[in-house]
Amino acid sequence: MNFRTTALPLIALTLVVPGVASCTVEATPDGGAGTGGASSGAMGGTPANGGGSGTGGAGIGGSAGSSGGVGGATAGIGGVGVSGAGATAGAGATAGAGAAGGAAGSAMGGTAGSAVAGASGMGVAGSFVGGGAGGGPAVPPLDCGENGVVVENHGPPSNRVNYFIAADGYSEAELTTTLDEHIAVAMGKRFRDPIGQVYLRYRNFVNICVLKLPSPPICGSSIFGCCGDDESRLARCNESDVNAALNENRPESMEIDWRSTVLNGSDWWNTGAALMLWSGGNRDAAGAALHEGGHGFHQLADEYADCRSNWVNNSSNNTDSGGKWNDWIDYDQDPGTGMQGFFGCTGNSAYRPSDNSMMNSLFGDDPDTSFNPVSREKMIMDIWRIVETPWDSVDPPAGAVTSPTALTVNVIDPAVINVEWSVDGAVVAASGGPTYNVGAAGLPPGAHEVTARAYDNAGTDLVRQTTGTQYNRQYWGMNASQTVTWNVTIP
Amino acid sequence: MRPSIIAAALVPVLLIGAWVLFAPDGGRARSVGALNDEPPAAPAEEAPAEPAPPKVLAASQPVAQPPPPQEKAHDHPPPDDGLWVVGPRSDDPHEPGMHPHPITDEHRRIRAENELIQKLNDAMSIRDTKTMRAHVAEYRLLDPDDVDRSQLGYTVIADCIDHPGEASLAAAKSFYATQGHSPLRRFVRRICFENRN
Repeated sequence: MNFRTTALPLIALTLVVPGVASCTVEATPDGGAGTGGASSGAMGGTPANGGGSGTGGAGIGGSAGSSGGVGGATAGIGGVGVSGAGATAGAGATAGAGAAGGAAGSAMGGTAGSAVAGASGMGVAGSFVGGGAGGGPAVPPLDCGENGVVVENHGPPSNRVNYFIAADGYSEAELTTTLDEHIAVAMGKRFRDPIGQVYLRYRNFVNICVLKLPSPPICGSSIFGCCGDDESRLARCNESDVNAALNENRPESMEIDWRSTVLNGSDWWNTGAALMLWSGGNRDAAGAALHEGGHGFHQLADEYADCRSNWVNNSSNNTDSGGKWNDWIDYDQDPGTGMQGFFGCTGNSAYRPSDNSMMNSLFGDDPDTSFNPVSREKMIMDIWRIVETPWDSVDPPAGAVTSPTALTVNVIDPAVINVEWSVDGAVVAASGGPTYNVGAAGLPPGAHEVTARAYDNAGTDLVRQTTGTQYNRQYWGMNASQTVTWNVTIP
Repeated sequence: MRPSIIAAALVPVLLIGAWVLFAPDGGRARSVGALNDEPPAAPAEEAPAEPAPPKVLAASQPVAQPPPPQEKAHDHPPPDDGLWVVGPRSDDPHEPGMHPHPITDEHRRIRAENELIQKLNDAMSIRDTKTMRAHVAEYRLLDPDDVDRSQLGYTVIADCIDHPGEASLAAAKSFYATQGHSPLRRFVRRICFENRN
């Protein structure tokens, strides 16, 4: 028996600056010898200056990023070759100017730094010329309400999963000490690879707020009446009071997608209901928050005991999951939960996809306590059920536009979202980054249809089962891949 | 061929066969049906009467470890037989292989509610209001108080789909304005106000 115990370190302020995606060079598909127009635009911002250091007991509540990342100084390298139309070769000339600003770093309590997209490179007629991948618009401050504090701010709440955590049992003084520590520990595991995945990959897709209201201790007259039960290990709170507090304290326009209450206690009392409850002071509180969130937000089943039911990660048959995880069988999730197949729950009454997982035994901090691929895939579908488009805005707005300098799709996270660019029906860049520098591309005079298809670049290690309308799979095709079209006129 | 040669050739084959049949772990390759980590029990009523041939894992695939010792390392024997569950006190052992909670009747109720929510969301996403209303009826039996107002929210959305008009829109606006905690507000907006999923 392995008796490993791992102390979860209190995380210092972590400022995350999304990775900078350089423009991928794509040859035009129908040209003769064409490797033309290849040009990588300027490198986007480097992950610098995301924010200041954290302050406070747990290193959260850090100051805002004062500026975006520094624009890449590297010049875009112009491609040399023949254009896709077989026309004259174009020396993809000068480099894209380095952008000022990278994507903003977000911080607990901090506001984002600004970012400015990179400028263009130069290319050849009709070819793709990427722009700076750095940044995109600055992330505006997130309003968590009068008594709410920002834990994670990644963009407009209308196009993000908005996760609200209401605290119970924390005194006024503890709201900025103990509670911050509890939240920091939970976030530390949530964003740790591989156990916290897919939350790390999709970090920019979820805003998180904490509702801080002073309270007497739990199991007494706390504001939400939370306590627990030793036999069931369930936490219980007055759900009406929690709901009322969230309703009263949220900003008017905020749509809350995920609710939880953190109890100021160290007993092992947790509940995976729609209002998820977890004891913040327990040594495995971070794991509890992940496990119970698996139940309450993702509708994942326990993968032990009598785990038979109509859940995505349970099957009553040990040779056919009924379409739930057929495509994952024999996949080795490494690091993670290992080989996927059919593993019996109590009495082989039902089966789970992996030997261990976050939904089975979360203890010990071994990679096999990660969410298995079946669960991870469901988590991705749940995110795309809420997040409606891979971008927050497009610039200029879709439709008719004359002589644009550039067309930009401000994607949620360029590390997660690729953009395929097409001109007049021909793909000019399968993964071209968020900006197409029309001015530099040398489109011939006339009318052109420029299309950008933004899509989640998750590989087959993350997404395999996307057919059907169960388990939110339909949102993969509906929201995770979308197209915007401009009717460009070049005089 | 001489019988002694045949016998010599058969010896290794017989030895391998004996090892496969009688080795303590039954050899490395085994049916997945045996990959349980809990004590075996009688087949459940949901199990297929004649299960299909079990999938055989390659030798390199993981084989479940023997069940962890039970009722040893904790002071709170689990209510469910055969489960090794972390105890409620902060100093109770938290060891790999232990389970986070027992499965009590309350857990089963929560599980049923979560399952209903998934079914309702699936039905809502394809605007299958008949199924939505059937699940809401189940939900009412499970949670008559509807503390979360989820049953109300799904009903409001189903009404918007089935009976678009002033009455359903007014109900939707009322829900959106008053149930600020509800994750269904986003879908009230999308479906009732913006007519999209």
